[in-house]
Amino acid sequence: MFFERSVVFLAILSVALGQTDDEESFLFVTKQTINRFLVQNKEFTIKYGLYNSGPTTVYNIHLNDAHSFPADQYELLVGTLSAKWERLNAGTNLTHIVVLKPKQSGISNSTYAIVTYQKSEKNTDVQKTYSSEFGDVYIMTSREYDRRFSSHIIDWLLFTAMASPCIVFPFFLWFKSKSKYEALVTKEKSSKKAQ
Amino acid sequence: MFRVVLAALAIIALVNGETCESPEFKVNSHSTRDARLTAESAAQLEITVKCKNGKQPGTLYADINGQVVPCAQTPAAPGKYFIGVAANTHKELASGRTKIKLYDDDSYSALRKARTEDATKAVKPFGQVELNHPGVSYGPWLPSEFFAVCTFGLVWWAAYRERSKILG
Repeated sequence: MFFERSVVFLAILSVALGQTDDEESFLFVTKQTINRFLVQNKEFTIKYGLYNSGPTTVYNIHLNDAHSFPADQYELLVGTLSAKWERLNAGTNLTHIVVLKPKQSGISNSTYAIVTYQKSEKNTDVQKTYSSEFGDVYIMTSREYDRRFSSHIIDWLLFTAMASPCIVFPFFLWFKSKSKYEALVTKEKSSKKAQ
Repeated sequence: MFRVVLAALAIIALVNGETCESPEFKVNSHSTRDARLTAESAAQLEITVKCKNGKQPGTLYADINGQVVPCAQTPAAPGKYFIGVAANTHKELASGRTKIKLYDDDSYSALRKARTEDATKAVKPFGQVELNHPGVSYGPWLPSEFFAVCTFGLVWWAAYRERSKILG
């Protein structure tokens, strides 16, 4: 009886004391790509989502992802790989978009982004968190992508050019003999009429 | 007396010098164009602000879909502000021009203090920029194979007609 009561008392105490941890907020960072395919020399868009779960504002947020996409393999088109925000209010979320262009094809692995923030304006203790990652990705060459998705007009024009001798040459032979035959028939008819 | 006037003038100069007056925005807008390459739509605005008195606004906040969030800045380029907009499907990102209101520190704190709907609307934004999204393309309407089939079908049909005339 006493044991049960003490366990219940300890449980209530831990829940009551545990409530104070909820005063601080925690920042969740997701890192995703919105591309269906990754193609060399085509846009590669990455979406970073920052979510403030918890009741307080976080301050001085820094996102650094330059190590995932080195400049010799990726060209930066839009956005920045190291971004900072003043604050993020409780319960709100932020989106940051970066558009890169892969210079090489093949398998490329990317790691998580590193995000640092302060839990309060006065307390300058920096909290570090990592974003999610999407692991190894396969960047296809632009030839592979074009084979599936380009409009193929030039291919068809070339095909028509190559197929036309097979069609035009017999047609020409037939047309020549047909016009000769028709000319003969009309000559006969006109000569018959004359007679 | 003179010192008081000087101090007052100094304070006025300081206050006026702090805020950015009549800002001019230069916007670089980028959005998803190819719907076959991407599964979702996203847009990013890169804003450069030029103030008449040469000051930078500090932090800018943007009103995206009703939510006011701070703009990203980068240590590498101090004058640039970034706004990112993401949509779960291609249709959710409205094509055409969308106006986004910007707030600086002063107008943002006024916005936070406003409690009623009217008061929120009465806060004058720092500026306004436009997101221009031309829309996404799913590829050509008619594939080139369609035209190839039509052309060769016509050729075949003409030849078949002549053949039937000869044989019939």
